[in-house]
Amino acid sequence: MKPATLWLLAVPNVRASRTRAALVAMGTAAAGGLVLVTLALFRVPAFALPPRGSTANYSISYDPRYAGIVTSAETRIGVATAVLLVAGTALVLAWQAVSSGSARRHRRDQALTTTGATPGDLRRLGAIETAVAGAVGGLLAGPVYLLLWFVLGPAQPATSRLLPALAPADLIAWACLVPASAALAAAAGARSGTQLHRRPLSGWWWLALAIVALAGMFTLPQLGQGDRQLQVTLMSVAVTLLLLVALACGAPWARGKASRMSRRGRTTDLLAGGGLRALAGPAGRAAGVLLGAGLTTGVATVILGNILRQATDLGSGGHLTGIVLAAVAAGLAALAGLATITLAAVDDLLTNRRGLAAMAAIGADLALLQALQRRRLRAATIAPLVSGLLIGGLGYGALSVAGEPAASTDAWPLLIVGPAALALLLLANAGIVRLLRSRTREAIDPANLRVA
Amino acid sequence: MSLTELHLALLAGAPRHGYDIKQEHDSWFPDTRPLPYGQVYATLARLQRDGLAEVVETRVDGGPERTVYALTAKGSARLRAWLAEPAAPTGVGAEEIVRKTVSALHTGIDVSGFVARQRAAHLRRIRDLQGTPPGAGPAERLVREHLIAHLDADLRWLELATELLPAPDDQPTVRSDERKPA
Amino acid sequence: MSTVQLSGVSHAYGRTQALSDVSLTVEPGEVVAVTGPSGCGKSTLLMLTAGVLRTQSGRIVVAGTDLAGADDAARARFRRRAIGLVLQFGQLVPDLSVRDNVALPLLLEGHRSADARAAADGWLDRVGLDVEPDTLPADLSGGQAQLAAGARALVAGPQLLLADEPTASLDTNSGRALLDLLVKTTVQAGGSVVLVSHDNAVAARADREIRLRRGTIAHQVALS
Repeated sequence: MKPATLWLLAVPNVRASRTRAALVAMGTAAAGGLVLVTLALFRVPAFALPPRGSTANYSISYDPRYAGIVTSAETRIGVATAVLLVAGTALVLAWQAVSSGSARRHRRDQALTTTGATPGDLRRLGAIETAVAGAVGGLLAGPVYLLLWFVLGPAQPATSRLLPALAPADLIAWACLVPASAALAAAAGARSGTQLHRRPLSGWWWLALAIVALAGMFTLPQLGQGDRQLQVTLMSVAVTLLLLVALACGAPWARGKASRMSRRGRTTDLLAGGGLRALAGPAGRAAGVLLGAGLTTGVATVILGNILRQATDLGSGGHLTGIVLAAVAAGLAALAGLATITLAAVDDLLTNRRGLAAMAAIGADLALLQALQRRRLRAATIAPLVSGLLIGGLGYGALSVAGEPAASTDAWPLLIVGPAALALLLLANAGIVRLLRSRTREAIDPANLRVA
Repeated sequence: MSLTELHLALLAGAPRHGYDIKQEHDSWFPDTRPLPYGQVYATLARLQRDGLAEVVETRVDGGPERTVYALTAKGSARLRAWLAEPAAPTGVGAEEIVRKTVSALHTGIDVSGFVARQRAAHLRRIRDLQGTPPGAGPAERLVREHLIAHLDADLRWLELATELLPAPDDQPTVRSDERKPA
Repeated sequence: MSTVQLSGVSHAYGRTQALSDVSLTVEPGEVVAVTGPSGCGKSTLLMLTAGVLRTQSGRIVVAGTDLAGADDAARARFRRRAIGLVLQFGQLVPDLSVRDNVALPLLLEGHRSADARAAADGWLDRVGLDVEPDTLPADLSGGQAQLAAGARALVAGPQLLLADEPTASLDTNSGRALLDLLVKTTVQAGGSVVLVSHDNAVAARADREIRLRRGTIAHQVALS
C-alpha cells in the first residue's frame, strides 16, 4: 500500500475518533512532561548520605535553594521513581485510548483485508493513526513541563523547590521527546491494529512471577546493606519491576477473578463475571495501577507514623514533602487507573449495545445493569488497592525494623488511611457508574435490537 | 373453467366491445397465449345468452360495426361469487390463482378480502401438509414438502402482486360510464 | 381473560408512523402469526406486546399487566415473569457463555445459579444445540445462536412466547423442529404464542393469521 493510500484511509478514522486522538495526545503529553521533570530532577546538586548507622549530621545535605528531598541523592531517586510511575500510569491511560473504538476499527480492518490489505498494511495504518497524536502529545509535553516546573519550582518557597532553573538541557530533552513519543504511539497503534494470537501464560506462571517480584522488592534493597544510595536505587528498581509485573499480571488476574465470579452462586457475581472477562485487559491494568497506588500509600503511611512517633523536626519538612508528593502521586495514579477502566467501560457500552439491549429485553432493568457495573468495578479495584496498602504498609514496616532488634515501627495510621482510601475508592466507583448512566440507558434502547 | 368469470372481470371496469376485451386480457396476462377473437366472441355470446352480460351500444366509428357489452347485475354477482372463493391451494399447475388474483386486483373487488381468503386457504393446506402423519416414509414427506414449497411460492407471488399492482379502491363495478382510453 | 389485549395502539419512531390504531386479542393456548411485508410494523407490535417498547398511545394488557401504566422497571419485571422472547439477531449477551445466556431469565428472577444452569443444560439438549455449554456466543453460528435463543425463551416457562423470525437463520428441518418445540411446549403449559414472520411455513403453524400492512391490520383469518 502506498503512503498516500494509507494516509487516505487513516484520515477519516482520525476524524471519526477525535476523542481517541485527543486522549492519546493528552496521556502522552502528561507522561512526557513528567519524564522531563524526572530528567530535570537529576540536575539538582545532590549529596550522598553517609552509610546507615553513621552518626554524621543530616544537615550535610542541606541546600537553601532546594527541598531536602531532592538534594539527598537517596531520596531523590525515590522521588524520580515516583514521578516516573505516575508518568507510567498516564501511558497506561493513553494505551487504553489507543485501543478504544477497536470494534469499529476491527470491522474496517476486516473489510480492508477482504479487499486485499496485508497485515503489514493494517499495522502501518494503525501506526499512522496514533503517530500523529503521539507527536502532538510530545509537543504538548513542553508546555506541561513548563507548568510543572513553575508549580514545583518558582511557585514554592526556596526550601521546598524541587526543580532547578530552566536550562538548554530541557530544550534538548524536549526535542528528543517529540519523535520518541510519536514512535511509541505509532508502535502502540500498530500493535492495536493487529489481532495478536499469543498463547496466554498460565495463571501459575503469573503467580510465580508476582511472588518473585514481590520477594525481589523486599530482598533487593537488603543487598545494598551498608550503602544507602545503592539500597534506595535497588529499592526503586524493585518497585518499578513489581509494578510492571503487576500491570502485566493484571489481565490474567482479572480473567481468573472473572471465572471465579462466574462460578459463584450469586446472580450479580455470575453476570458481572462475564462483563469483567470482556474487560479483563483494561481492568487488569487499572488493578495494577491501583496496586501501585496502594503500595505507595501504604509505605508513605507507615513512614508518616514513624515520623509522628519521633515527633522531631516536622517543621523542616524534608520527609513531609516526600510524603505529600507520594500521596499526590498515588492519588494521580489511582485516578488514571480509574479513568482507564471508565474509558474501557464506555467503549464496551458502545460496542456491546445489542447484547445489552437483548439483556434488557429479557428483563434486566437499568438498576440491575448498573449494579453489575458497580460489582465489576469493585471486583477490579478494591482487592488491588487493599492488598497494596497492606503489602506496602506492613512490608515496609517489617523492612524498617529488620536487622534492628531494638527498633519498632508505627503502622497505626494505616487504620485511618486505609479505610479513608477505601471509602474514596467506593465513592469514585459510584461516581463512575453514575457517569455511565446515560450511556447505559442509550445502550439498552430497544432501537439497538432492530439493526442486523 | 374460469374463462367465463375471467371475461366478467374484463368487463367489470367498463362496458367494452370484443376487441377491447382481447386487448385488456392480453395486457393483464402479457406472458400467456393471446386470447383469440373467436373465443372472445363465443364467450360474449354465451354470457349474453345466460343473462350475465348485455349489449348496451352498437357503434360504428368509420370501421366495422362494434357491439359494446356490459355486465348485468347477475353477471356482477357471479363475478363476485367467483372472487369470494379462493383458488384451490393445489400448489402446482395453478393458473387459477393467477387469474383470480389479477382479476381481483384489476377490478378492485374486495381485494383485501380476496387476499385474506387466499392466504388462509393456502396456509391451511400448508399446515395440513406439515403435519406429516406418523409412520409416513421419506417418500411421502418429500411429496408433501414439494407441495409446501409450491404453495409458499404462490403466497410469495401473491404478496408481490399486491405490492406491484395496488388495487383501485374497492368499488361497485356493475356499470360505469367512464371509459378507459383504449 | 385474554392473554394479550391491544386496543387502539399506535406507535411512531420520530415522524415515522409504525403502527396506527391496532386492536387485537390473543387467547390462552392460542398460536397467532403476525405477518406482512417488511416495515409493516410486525416487530414494533411484538416489542410493544413484550413491553420492551413503551406504550405511546392505546392500551396494552398482557398476562394481566397493564403495560401502558408501567414504568421501565415494572415492565422489566413483567418481561422476566411472563414473557419468553426470541429475537431476530444478536440476541445473546456476548459476555456470557451459552449456558448462562439460556439461564439468564431464571438468574434474573433470582433462582439459584446451580438450578438455573442445570435447567439451561436441559433446554440446550432439548433444542438440539450440540456445543460445549461454556462456549461464548461469538463462537456460535447464526443457527446455533438461534437455537440457544429458543432455549432461553422456554427456560422460564413463559405465559406468552413472542418470537420474531425465530427460524430465519435455520435450515428448513431444524427451523421446523425449533418452531414445533416452541409452540408445543408453550401451548401444552397453557401459554400463548405470537409468531412474527414473513415465512409462510412459520405462519402456517398458527391458529390465526393477523396480517399487517402499513401499520394497520389488513386482515385476520382463522387457520385451524
